[in-house]
Amino acid sequence: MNKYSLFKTWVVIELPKLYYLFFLCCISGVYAQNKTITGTVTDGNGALPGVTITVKGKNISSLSNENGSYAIITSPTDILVFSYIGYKTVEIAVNGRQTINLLMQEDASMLQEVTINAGYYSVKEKERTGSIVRITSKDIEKQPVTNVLATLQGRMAGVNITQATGVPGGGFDIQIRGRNSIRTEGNTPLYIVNGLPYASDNLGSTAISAPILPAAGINPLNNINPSDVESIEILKDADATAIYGSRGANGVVLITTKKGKVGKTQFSINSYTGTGKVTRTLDLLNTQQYIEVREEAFANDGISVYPTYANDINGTWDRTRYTDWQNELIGGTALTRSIDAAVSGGSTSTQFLLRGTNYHETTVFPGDFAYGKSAVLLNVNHQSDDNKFQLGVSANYVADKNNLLGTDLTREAAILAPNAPALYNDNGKLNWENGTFTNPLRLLEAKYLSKTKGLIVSSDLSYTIIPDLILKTQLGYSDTHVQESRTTPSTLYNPALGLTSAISSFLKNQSSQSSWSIEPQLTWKKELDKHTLQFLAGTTFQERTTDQLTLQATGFSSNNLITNVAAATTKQVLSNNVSMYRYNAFFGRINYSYDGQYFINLTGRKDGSSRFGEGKRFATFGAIGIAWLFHKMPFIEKALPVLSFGKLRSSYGTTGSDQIGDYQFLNTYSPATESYQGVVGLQPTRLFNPDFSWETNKKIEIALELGFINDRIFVSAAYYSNRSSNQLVGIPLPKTTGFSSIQSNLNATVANSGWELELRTVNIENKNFKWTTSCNVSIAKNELLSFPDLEGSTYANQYVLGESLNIRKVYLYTGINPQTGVYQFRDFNGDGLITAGADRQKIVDASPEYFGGVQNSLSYKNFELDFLFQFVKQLGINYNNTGILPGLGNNIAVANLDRWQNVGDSASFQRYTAGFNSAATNAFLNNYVQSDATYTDASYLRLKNISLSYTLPRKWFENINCKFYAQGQNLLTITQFAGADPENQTQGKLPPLRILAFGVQVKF
Amino acid sequence: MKTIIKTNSTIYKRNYLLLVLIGLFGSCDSFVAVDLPSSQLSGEAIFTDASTASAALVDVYSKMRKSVLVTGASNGISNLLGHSGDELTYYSSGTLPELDFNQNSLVATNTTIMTTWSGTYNLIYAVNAVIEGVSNSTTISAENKEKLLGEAYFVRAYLHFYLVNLFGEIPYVKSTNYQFNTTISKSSVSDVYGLLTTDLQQAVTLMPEAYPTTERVRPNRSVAYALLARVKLYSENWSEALLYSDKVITTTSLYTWVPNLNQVFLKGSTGTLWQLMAPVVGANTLDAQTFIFSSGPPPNRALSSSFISSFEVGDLRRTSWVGTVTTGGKSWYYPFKYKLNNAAASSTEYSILFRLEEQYLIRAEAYAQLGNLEKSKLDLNKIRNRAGLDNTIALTKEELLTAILKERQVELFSELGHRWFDLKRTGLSTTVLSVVKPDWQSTDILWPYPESELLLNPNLLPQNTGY
Repeated sequence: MNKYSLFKTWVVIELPKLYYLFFLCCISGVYAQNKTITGTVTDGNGALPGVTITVKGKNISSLSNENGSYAIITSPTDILVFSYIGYKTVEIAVNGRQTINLLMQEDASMLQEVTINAGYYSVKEKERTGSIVRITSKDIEKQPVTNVLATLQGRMAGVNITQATGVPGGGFDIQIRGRNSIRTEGNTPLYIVNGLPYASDNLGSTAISAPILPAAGINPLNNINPSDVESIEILKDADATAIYGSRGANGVVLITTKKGKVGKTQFSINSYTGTGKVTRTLDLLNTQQYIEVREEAFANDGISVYPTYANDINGTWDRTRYTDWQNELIGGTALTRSIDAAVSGGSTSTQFLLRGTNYHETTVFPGDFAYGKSAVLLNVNHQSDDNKFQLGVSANYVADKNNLLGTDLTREAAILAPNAPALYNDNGKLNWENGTFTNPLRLLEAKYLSKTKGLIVSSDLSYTIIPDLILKTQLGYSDTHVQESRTTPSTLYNPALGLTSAISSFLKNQSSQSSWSIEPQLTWKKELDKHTLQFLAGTTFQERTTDQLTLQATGFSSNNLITNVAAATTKQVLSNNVSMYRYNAFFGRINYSYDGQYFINLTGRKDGSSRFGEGKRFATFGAIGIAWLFHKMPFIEKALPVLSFGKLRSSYGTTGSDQIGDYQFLNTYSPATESYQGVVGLQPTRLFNPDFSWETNKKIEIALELGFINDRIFVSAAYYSNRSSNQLVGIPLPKTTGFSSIQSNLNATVANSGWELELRTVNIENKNFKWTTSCNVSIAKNELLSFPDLEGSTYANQYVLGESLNIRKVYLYTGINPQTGVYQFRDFNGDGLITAGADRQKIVDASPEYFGGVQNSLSYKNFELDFLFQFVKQLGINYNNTGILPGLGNNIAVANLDRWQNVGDSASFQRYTAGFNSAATNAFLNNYVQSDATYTDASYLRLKNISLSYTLPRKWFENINCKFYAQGQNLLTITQFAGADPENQTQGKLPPLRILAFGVQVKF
Repeated sequence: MKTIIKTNSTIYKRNYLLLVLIGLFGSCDSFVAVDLPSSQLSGEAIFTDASTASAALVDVYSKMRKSVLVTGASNGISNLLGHSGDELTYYSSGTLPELDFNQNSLVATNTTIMTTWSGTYNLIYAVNAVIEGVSNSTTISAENKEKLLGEAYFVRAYLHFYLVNLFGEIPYVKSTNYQFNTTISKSSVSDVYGLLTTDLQQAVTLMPEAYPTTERVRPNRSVAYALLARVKLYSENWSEALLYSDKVITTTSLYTWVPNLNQVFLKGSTGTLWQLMAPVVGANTLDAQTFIFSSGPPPNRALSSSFISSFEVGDLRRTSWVGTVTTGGKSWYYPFKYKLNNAAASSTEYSILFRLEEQYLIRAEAYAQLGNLEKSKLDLNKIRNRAGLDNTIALTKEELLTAILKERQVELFSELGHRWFDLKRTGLSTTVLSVVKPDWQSTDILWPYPESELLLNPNLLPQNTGY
């Protein structure tokens, strides 16, 4: 519930009228000799300012002030009506009383009155023509997580979010209505924080972070503190996103931070501590089983004398020792603690909020590693006395520090032989077992450290020039600094190599990015009888500069000096990149409505981006959205009295994408990392093409929203169909061209279509008990519609017309040859050979078939219970896709025990080999891991979040609101998945954590 | 009160109108036209000047030393082919990329093969860009143009030489035109040899005899002759192999015999034709880092016992060029040609790509094949005598050829796959390797083409047999 913006609207539009009314009341009151009634209006959380109090049947009204108190002149027999948007309207008979206090209750059926943020404008939920989903602080606060994207999982139709790793500070992948771009990295949405476009690309160096933080490295969204967020809106269709033009193709995520509220100064403190463990691990062999596998593998290969390197079996290591390496290396408990404190308050003219948060999380790995984050938010709003001028400023500052080991231990934990020696010697030193054991804990010697500091300042200024004509300017500035380093000390290597600190090295990356934007806008609104017309016109100037310096220092007199670049014998600048992105646009909106029943919304944008070459820089985008609220039509009211709300809406328009990186159209050379003859080499940066331009995305949507029984049952169904064309891709090229790709527009069309269904019900609602349920399901389909000359292109073996972009063309596994015990595959072209081009013809589709969530909220007296189940139906890559050949010196899954042993056997896995059987090795590494056998069901149902809280009765401590709570994340996972975690799937990455936290919140 | 508000609002109004005017009319195309970043140079600018063009060329040498193909790092052919053949034994308890090479169980999706292929073609692109840029340049002097083009033609031939020997038929890439190179076809082995001979002959005419600096870190004309000699040897053109190796050996103004085995691999050795300079003062070779270890059992790799036993009694190379580690009564051996695996105040060793001794062995083989056994023995004995061995006892041509092959094994071990290529060109690979390698198949002598390449460019089909 965005009380603030409602209040603002009220101040601007209604307040002058009300003053006038109040004045009239006073006069009439004097004449009627009525009495003044006073009181306080509160909701569960505190004073409720801005409540309208009217006398039923009379033209008298008043408002509650910032303390929730009010005064109204009335006669003893009157009835008072208390109303406030989003709350149930209450009628109370005066009955001669002089004081009437009231506790108002929120009304689920009033959700249609909520104002939601559409970016450049805001719109009432019931009047919106576009597709916008939203989550507020109420749900965010119930989740003990540090990344805002984590708070959205399972809660929004059409938004698919997956966690890449359970390592603290790691990234999330988000897809809004499927994959539009053929480029995997070209599918991220546009993030807007308090009106300022927020760069979501990693500022770190993947060379430093990749082994511990996969994919995108440092996640820039860590710079947004979830507990500072008031609401997140996601814009999905053309009507909502076209005003963001070239950057709206993949959807827009609007993040709005908390704001000060009118009322007495309020303090609040919230603190929790929790524990986390990995959700699932693999079921691996014990030593006895493992030794049996190895012996059989060598026997199968006809080798009786074990090779020198086979330490696990040739007697070098104890053949009976057993260690559960997963428990040892990733089985620890991560401790989390979080505390935030806030003070807020203000008068009707000026409000403020100051919040501070501190968060700390350790890891499940051995060793002393932790992630910490501190955040400060300051918000001040002011209105001039005549209400013509308004000012709002928000400053968010987040500093985080991620102190980790250099490499994720998950892969080593999964493959290390179960009879590998002890980690430490008796003297407490790392055990290398005389150089025969590559001890996994060596990886703790290499340290990863990142420090990020991010500031986002945004301000809104608005001035009412003449009534209904408002001039607004949004000013934003952001500044982010990243310092990232990794040490590679000589102690990381087997002491048998005799390496000294002279080879120790240190990698350091320093990046900064600053961005400013100015967006002057003019809005005009005219109401005439039943017609309402709204105009918005504006322009954007944005500039973003990035500066990155990566250094390598090698050779230290001691490993203790390893982080001191000055102490190194050699120092190298690996890269020093400066880049600038500039962006300029004009945008506008015309909204017309008739009688509050018919709405038409036109939006458009002309964009220019520095990412394109001359003549390709500008493009225009636009959309139309319409809505019809039909429940008030007389014939419908008559025929369907049970229908409390009915809306049909539709939209069509175009958006674009410029996510291609800077300067890609230039033919350039850049300095290499090393010098030769004292001169730093110059290397060709890329194959270049100056003529590429925007990717365009046409979106169409139609949706029906229905509310029954006073909106206690509310359903909405939306169908969308998006077409992305003029695909801007790095077309993969054979390496004989010197590079792996070239940027170009591809005349291919990708369609994303699907259904999004939402259901919200108020199951039980009475004085003490309330139970609401909300569900969402998304059924999405991705299809490559057209691709000229696909067969002749470099994509021939990657995509198929009519299939999804998420397909893989793989071998079709046909079972095990009972004679040889080796995997067999369908020879599609019948040439007697299994070859990649001709025989990888089986199509597997890894896109989710459907996904969604079911949330239940129950409250009984002072208890509140919320729980969210998230579900995904999908195929995924299973354990065997990792390419661990059963029989080689690595541990394997228990499932792999069902293997071929003798001629005539039928089994699910082929004969073991220690690597000396080429046919078996090839069948596994080259074919089996690229076959449909490694794609199996990875669907799951997960208790994503559960939150239970108890608020101490108010009578215990006057003016103190105290709440105790327990929260859990990923507590339960039901899945058939053959692997560790079905969400992040890849075996080398730490599964997400199962978190259980306990906390207390106090407000006074 | 009223007046104050009014004044304020007038100010607001004025400022706002100004902002709107700037906003609505002040923008233009020039705002979104940004300059070239200071961290990059335009492709045209590089080739207006000899020094930046040279920087573009020497970057190829940097990458060859650090990470591509002939690098001394463990992903270079010195190590990989040592494992594929009979020089090295695998020891790591982990699965290093070289295990598949050691077990001769390579598959088409092998990532080390992919990076070798892509890294090499990336350097070929860089070389072709230099050839095109320098040829079209109007500002680089004719003399500088010749030097740069000569080196570039030579390097193009040198990189393709290794590709053709590792993979068999390969595309010979001569331009930067990606549209053409995307669908380029393979050339037969003899065609590749023809193309690289053309490039080398062009290099010979363009490159000067003298090294530009005192260090031999850029190729000169003799290096082109040296590669020509090797190319002719591999293609069994004995007379030309003799011709070119002789040209190098007789350039005594530059190359003189190094009598002391411990000085052959030093930075300033007079027997060196071309070596790759370390990127920073004090750094030594990556070869030393790859091979040297200080205690047993070996952490990653060691010389195989079969190789160690191939040294004749009294061969000084066995002690000078082989390192020994003894732990608990057991001994292990490692290549010790390059002796410094840590950095020091100044560099002592650079990785050598061409040295005089190979030319003597090429000439010895060519003489023998041409029937001039005496001259052949002279060259062979020169090598043997330095190692403290007596003259060869070979009498017949066949005996002599066998002796030369054997001498190449102990002279050139752990250097850029000489042993592997010798077994391949003489057709002896299966005879020799099936004895020491459990899973040896005759088709293992060629690497598979990277699978993704065949998928992206079907003109590269078929895959090599056995994969």
